[in-house]
Parts: sequence; structure tokens; C-alpha cells
Amino acid sequence: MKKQIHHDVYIGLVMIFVSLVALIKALPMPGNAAQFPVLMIVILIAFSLWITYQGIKKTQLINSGKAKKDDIIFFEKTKMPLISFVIVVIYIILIEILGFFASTTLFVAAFMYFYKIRDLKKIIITLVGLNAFIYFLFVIQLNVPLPKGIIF
Amino acid sequence: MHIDTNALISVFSELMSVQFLIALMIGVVGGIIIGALPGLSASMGIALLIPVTFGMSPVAGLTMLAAIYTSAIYGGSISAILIHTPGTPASAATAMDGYQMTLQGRGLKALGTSTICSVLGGLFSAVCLLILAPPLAKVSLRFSSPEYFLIAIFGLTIIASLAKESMIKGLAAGVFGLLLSTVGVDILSGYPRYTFGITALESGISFVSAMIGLFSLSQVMIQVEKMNEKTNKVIGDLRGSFWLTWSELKSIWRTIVRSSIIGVLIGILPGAGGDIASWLSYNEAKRFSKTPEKFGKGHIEGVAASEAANNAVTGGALIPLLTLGIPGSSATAIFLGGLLIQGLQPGHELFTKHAKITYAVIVGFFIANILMGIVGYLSAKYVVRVSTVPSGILGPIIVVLSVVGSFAINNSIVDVYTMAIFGLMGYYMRKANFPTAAVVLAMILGPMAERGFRQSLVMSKGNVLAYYAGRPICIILFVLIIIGLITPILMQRMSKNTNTAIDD
Repeated sequence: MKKQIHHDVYIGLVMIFVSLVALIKALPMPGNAAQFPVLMIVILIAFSLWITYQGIKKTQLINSGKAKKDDIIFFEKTKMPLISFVIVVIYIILIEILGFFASTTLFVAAFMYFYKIRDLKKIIITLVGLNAFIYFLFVIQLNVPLPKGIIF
Repeated sequence: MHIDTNALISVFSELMSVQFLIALMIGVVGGIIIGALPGLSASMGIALLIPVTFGMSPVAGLTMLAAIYTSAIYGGSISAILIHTPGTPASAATAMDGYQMTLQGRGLKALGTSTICSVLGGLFSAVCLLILAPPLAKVSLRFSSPEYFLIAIFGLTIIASLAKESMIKGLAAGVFGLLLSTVGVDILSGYPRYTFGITALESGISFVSAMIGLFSLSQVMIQVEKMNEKTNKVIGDLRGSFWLTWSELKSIWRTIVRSSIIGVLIGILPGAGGDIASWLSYNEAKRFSKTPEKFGKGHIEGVAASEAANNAVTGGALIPLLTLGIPGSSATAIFLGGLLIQGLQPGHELFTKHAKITYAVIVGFFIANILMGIVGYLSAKYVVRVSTVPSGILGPIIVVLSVVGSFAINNSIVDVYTMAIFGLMGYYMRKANFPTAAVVLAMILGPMAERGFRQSLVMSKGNVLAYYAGRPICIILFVLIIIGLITPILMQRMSKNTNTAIDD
């Protein structure tokens, strides 16, 4: 049987890595400016080591059958949320190219399609209502200059 | 110090502005809808609407946030009663009897009880806030750099204690947030810290963008996980009368008073929120009741206890926040951000220099509770339909509002990318049981904590421990920090015992 590693092990190690990078970056700082970050880094490393240690213990429990495997975050379960995140990032990139309202229209339609909502009436009502609400509140009332691209 | 009556009278002119009335309405209606949607919390509602407050006067902006806070707690009970799905954790106890009432064809009566008790609990807490906050704020006059540093640490300890699984994870999230707060040009030395040569980072990471990402985008990602799950939300039958009869009111007034007091006290207690207050009140109502056997079977007293308590928490939680800058929950931590954005620092000055604003917000909070009752009466049975709206429609709406909200902070696309990065981070943090609120609060309190830490190092002249030990308030704060670390363990046990007692 393939051995599983609890996510706390990975998280602890990532936190230690981030702390070390932050520590290296703190070295050239003048004394006063480095005081607080260095103190935080030292505490963070201590917590990270504890989380890693707890993760190792949880891993042992899971592999010996004393704890449920469900406690682990599996990639399979996070795949769809990650795809939705990629859609959001593409949407943000498109805002600068196509403009806010055009890219929002594309994004909402794409996201709803991805979410298996294929009823055209629902998609159109959501699009019109949302764009109108944002235009009225942010552009007219709050004077926010939303990005304009090649379309609108 | 007494309540500044002149300021109190002058606030009424503030409350007559069109902007205030619109903000109040958005806060109440938005709060009820967000609360009624299972999975969406008061914290998310406040985070999402903070950017809208930028262009508003402090009174309108902060009243809107307070209105969202109290209305979302009430909104949570609507879905708890009608579809047996608490919109917020604070309404879980309401579902016990509320849904049973719906099954018995008394759904409207349950909604009426919930509305009346939520309004009364909220109003009671607003009065407590008005009476207790001004004298308590006087304590902050004795604060100096070391005290501000410890206040920040205490606040973080409290929020860290909200971690479901381990307090170490909560504390780690808080320390990570403090580290993030050091990004940007150091004000004292002028040195750019952790900017990696990126100009946009010189002014630091926008905590509002981080907050929207951590609370809103991460929530959408969590909803996506469940996109293939079939939900079968059936709205219960709505018959009968919304209003309570005189005899029904007479039978529950003691419960309302007791639960409101419990709610305010739990609200003041940092780390304990609406969920604990409602369960505790429910249990107390059952203990004092002449008919405890009726609880859990559609008893009006059960709904009254839970609903009066969870709304009374809101005003109670604002007391330590406004007077000492100590947020006791995620929602109040975000509310603190809203205060700082408007240039307001919690403490004595809120009730003297900025008294006009503060009293207007408290009175606005009072009015919001009344308006919540009116809107609830008119719309509760329609609002519940919102909770049946598929996540596929809600998801993109939340994402778009998150994007436009984070852009509106500085009219900068960099803030939108920041929001997205924190959204991804928030998703994994929530999956691994790290409290996202701790990161946000640490980013808000970070500059104050660092300033207090560095100044007290200078003032202590090398002997930090002796310096802190020589200051009575510091000793009290040290004790509170230790209590803050121990209390969650006791609360968890108490909550467990309460649930066991209810199951019995």
C-alpha cells in the first residue's frame, strides 16, 4: 500500500523555507529595521518545526490505520478549485486587455458554464444584473475608474 | 466619564443624510441576504463591502458595516428555520426548534419569533454598548507603547484561539501576518523591506485586498469543491401568523432578557462568539423552563433563546473593540480594519475627539436593528429563496465583487492580483485548519505592534523584562494573554458539555 504523508508535513516545511528566505532577506537590513521581522521569523520557525513534527505524528497514525485518510488534503479534491482559480487569474489578466466589463461578461459566462449552469436565461439575467449593479455603484456613485481595454 | 449628551444630540443631523440612509439599507438588506446564504458569513460580507465604504463618510461607512454584522447573524436564522441549514454557525441552535416548527406548519411563527428576539437582543446590546463603552474607553488613556504592543499580541492570541484544530496553527498564522505587515518601506529607517524591487510593494501589502482574498475568493473555491454534490433544499411550508400573541410574548420575555444578557457578556468575552452564546442560552432556557421536554420539538422558547443571544453578541463584541482595540471574533477583526481605514483609532479618542462619529455609529447600529426587524418582517419568506440559488451563480458574482472591490482601494490592478494570491493561500489555509482571520488581524495590528515593540525597546534601555514588569497594565495584559491562551480549551469543553446536555 502506498504510504500517505499528512499535509502538515509539507506545510511545515514550506513555512520553514519561507522563514529562511525572509531571514536571508533580513540580513542586509539596518539593525532597527531588522529587529521585528527577525523576531517574528524566529517564532515562525519554532511553530513550523512543531507543525512539521505534529504532521509526522499524524502521518504515522494514518499509515498504521489509527487515523482516517480523509484527514489528508488530496490533490484530486482540490483540482476543481484550482481550475476555478486559474479561470479567475485569466479573468484578471483579461481586464487589462479587454476592459473590465467585457472581461467580466466573458468570465461570468465561462464560470457559470464551468459550473454546469447552461440555462441561457439565468446566464443573461446574472450578467445584466451584475454589470448594471457594478456600473451604478462603482462607476456612477463611487467614481471608480474601472479599466477600459480595447472593447469597453 | 459620562456619555457626551451634546455629541449624542448632534449625531442626529448625521443620521438624516441620504448617504447614511442608503448605507443603512444596503447594510441591512445585504447582511440578511449574506447571512441567509449557507457558507457565507458576516465576516465575508464585511470584507466584501469595506471597499464601498472608502467613498463614504465615516458614519455611513461604519454604520453599514455594523448593520451587515448584526443583520447577517439574523439572516442566518431564516435558512436555519425554513430549510434546516444554518446560514451562519450562530444559528445552529435556532435550527433545533425552528425547523421543527416549520415541519409542524408554524414556519411563519418561528420566523416571527426569530425576528422579534433578534431585534430585542440587538437593541439591548446597542444600549449596553452606549452605556458601557465610554467609561471603559478611559482605560486606554493609560496606554503607552508597551501597552499597545501587548494589546496587539492579546488581540492576536484571541483570534489565534479561533483555530479549530490547534492553537499553534492559529499563532503561526498570526506571526506570519505580522511578518507580512513588515513588507514595505520602514518608516523609521526608510529601508525597503521585502519589496523585491517591486515599486507597488513599497507602500506595503494592502490588508483590504488580503482580507477580500482570504475570506471571499477562498470561500468560492471551497464552494467549487462541492459543485458535483446534489443539494435538495426544500423550503418548508409557511402558514400561520408571523406575529406572536400576547400570551406567547409573556411566556418568552424572561428567556429574551436572560439570553440577551448572556449574549452581551459572551460578546464582550474575547474569543467566544454567537455560536457559543446561542447554545449556552438555549441550554439555560431549557434548564429554567417549566417544560424542558418540549425543547427540540418545535418550542418557541428554544428559538427565542438562541436568537436573542446571538444578536446580543454583536453589540457586546463591539465594546472591547471600540474601547481597547481588542477584536473578539473574525467579524470584529475586519471591522477594526474598517475603523482604521476611516482614520479612527479605537480607544478614548473615539469617545471624545471623534465622539460625534462614534455615537452616530452606535445610534446607527441601534436603528439598523429596528430596520432589520422591519425588513425581516417584509421579506423573510422571500429571502430564504436566495439560499436556494445555486453556487454556480453566486460564485462568479462573489469573484467579480472581490475583483472590483480590491481594485477600488487604490484603483490599481496590483491589489487585484494581491487579492487573488491571498485567495489561493486562504483556500489552503482553511483546508489545513489555519484561521485566516489571524493573518488579517496581524496585518492590521502589525504596524502598531512593531512601533510599540521598537519604542519600548528604546525606553527600556536594555532591560525589557524589568521595564514591562514595572507597568501594572502590562502585567494585567500579560495575565490576559495567558488567559486568552487557556480559555479556548475551557470553552471547547464547555461547548462539548452543552451539546451533550442538549443531546440528552
